[in-house]
Amino acid sequence: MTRGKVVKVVCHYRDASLLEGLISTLRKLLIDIDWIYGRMVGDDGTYELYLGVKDSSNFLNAVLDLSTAVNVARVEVFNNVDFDSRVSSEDGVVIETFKIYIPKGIKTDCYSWGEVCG
Amino acid sequence: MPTGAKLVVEALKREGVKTIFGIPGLSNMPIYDELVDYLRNEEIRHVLMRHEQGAAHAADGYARISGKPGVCTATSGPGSMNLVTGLITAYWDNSPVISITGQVPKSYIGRKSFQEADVVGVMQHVAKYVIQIKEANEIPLWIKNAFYLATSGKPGPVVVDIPRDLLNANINDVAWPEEPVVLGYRPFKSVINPSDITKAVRMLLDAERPLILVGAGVFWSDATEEVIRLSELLVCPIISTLLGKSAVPHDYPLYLGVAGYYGRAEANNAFLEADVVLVVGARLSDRTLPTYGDITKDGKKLIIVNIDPTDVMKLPIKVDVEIYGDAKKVLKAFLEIINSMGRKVSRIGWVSRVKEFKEYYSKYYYVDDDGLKPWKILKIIRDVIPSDAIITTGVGKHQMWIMNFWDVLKPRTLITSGGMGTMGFGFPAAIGAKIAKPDRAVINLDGDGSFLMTMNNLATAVDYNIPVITVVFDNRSLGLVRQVQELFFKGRVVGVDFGMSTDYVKLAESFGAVGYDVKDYNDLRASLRKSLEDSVASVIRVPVDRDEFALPQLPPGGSLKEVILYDPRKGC
Ligand SMILES: Cc1ncc(C[n+]2csc(CCOP(=O)(O)OP(=O)(O)O)c2C)c(N)n1
Ligand SMILES: [Mg+2]
Repeated sequence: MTRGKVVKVVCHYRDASLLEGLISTLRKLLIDIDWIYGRMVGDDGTYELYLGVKDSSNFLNAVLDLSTAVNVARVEVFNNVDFDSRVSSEDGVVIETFKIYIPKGIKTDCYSWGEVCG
Repeated sequence: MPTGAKLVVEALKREGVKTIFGIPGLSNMPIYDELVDYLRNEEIRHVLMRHEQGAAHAADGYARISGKPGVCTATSGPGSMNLVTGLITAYWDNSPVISITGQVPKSYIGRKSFQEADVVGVMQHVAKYVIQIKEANEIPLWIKNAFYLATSGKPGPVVVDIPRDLLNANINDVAWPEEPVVLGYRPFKSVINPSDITKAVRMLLDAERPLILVGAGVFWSDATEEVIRLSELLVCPIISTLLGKSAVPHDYPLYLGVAGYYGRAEANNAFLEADVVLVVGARLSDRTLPTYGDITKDGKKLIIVNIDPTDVMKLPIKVDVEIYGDAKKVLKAFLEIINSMGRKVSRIGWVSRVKEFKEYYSKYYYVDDDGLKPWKILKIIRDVIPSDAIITTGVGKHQMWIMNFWDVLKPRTLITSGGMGTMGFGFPAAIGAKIAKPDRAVINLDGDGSFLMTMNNLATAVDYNIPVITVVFDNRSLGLVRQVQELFFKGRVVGVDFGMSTDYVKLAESFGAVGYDVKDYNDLRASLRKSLEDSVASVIRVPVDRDEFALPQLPPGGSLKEVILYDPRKGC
């Protein structure tokens, strides 16, 4: 189990360049990514991407850049979130589980096209 | 049944496009084929450039001067990759450029096919947005979206990459969208909150030494009138960024010039001494403010007006009032509130202080010893050309001389690569500017190094009779780099000097343009007058001493206080 900052990006998928662009936004600010979890959540291409990132002096800039990238509806930041991944095997099938524990009511900072909501 | 290529051209026409700058090749040829009818009917004009970088700069120059998106096209592979420098130049300066690139057919993608290049992968880092078309019937919507993205929020270049099979495909049901649809995109809002504006206005009225810093946002939103009126009402001096310079007529007596790294000492001093600074449409980049210490000390108060709130949120300094919105709209609100307050201010002390700065520093600037002096060359050009003539520049010492000694008299008459500092911008941008405003004189004030990077487009200027004039500040060197070597690398000059081989008159003539070799100031006057009269593409070569420095300048990363005013090799 690791604890750290989690960035959730709610965005719209058209092709995989969406993910490439988001990851490179962090890369351009020299931010390391510990883990990534993402999936399509709607038929309209709505996509949610969770990124476990190290805190750094560039962190806010990266979030602001993500929140003003075309196709990104909003970015949410959770502090002190636990993340767990386990690999188990049942009947010869390898199962990998990703768990992100986001406590209910946790304070979230949300950024979208220059607007900030707490 | 129209083809995908027909939809491209028709969609461009529907967006009001009149000119496309480009070079054809296998992958965008279907677009050219469809263009034939539009060219014959004179609905759209095509300008064949000599390098795709030039096509992007020309579209950029067109956009900066007209305020409307400029359009360029290139083929797949080398064609599209040659656009890169031009697009990032437009991106860094928020210029709306639309680039349509042909791509290899879908079935060839990913096979290292002939002239395949990963346009999406490359361009997403040099443009505001890039889209690869997947189905031909998406073309009308994505061309509309491209214009919307390029011109809204913070403007910038957008690339539409279209595989050749889709350009050739026939489309059954064509739907022409009324509105753009880009999921997950919102232009920034103008939030004009009267209480914030009142607070800002009070701070400015109560200030002892207020200052307005004008940035590119004022240029893009055409807010010159509002800035000047505000300065008059507040009796408030103005300084600017390099790109903001074009938004302030320099005959306005309270304008002190460009501040920053290579800026005027009086502008930097005014910034240091000001107690309240209103920053309009500038993001306080490292070029304007190399160190934030200059703003945080002495409790200076800061009011920032910016279209993009995240530009302000990123600043590591305290901002007293933040107002988000288009500069013109926000400044209009400032004026209304000031007028409603009816308070008058007089700042005799502050105004005479900044005037003193101006007078004091002029003795360092206007030295007139041997050889042709850059400031005097610029003064002569200014005297000869009309007040609304458009200036473009390269990058180097000549650009810094223009920054400090060129008098902009009308808004939007100076364009230059500010954010990216791209040598080679000036000449093709001049072509774009001339096409945007054919009735105005367009003069590219260029460095020899910069001009040689894109002067191949002289052929374009001659072929289409686009009478742009280039003045080459010929110091036979990559002068600005040389200056940095002299000042900060212990004079170890390396890799910067050109030989005498290039003959600019012959070079111009070989393209069918007219060349002039200037020996003295009278020659310059005469050749410039003649080129304006003849209205043909011309190149005027002006010799400038290699040792002539572009000053003032700060040491890299230095404070505005550390300004270097004179050439240390010569003494003061
Ligand atoms: C495309 C590009 N390459 C390199 C540079 C780095 N650079 C900045 S100024 C300069 C010299 C410019 O020479 P020139 O155009 O002759 O202008 P001068 O400084 O001599 O007036 C160079 C090489 C640049 N800005 N752009
Ligand atoms: Mg030079």
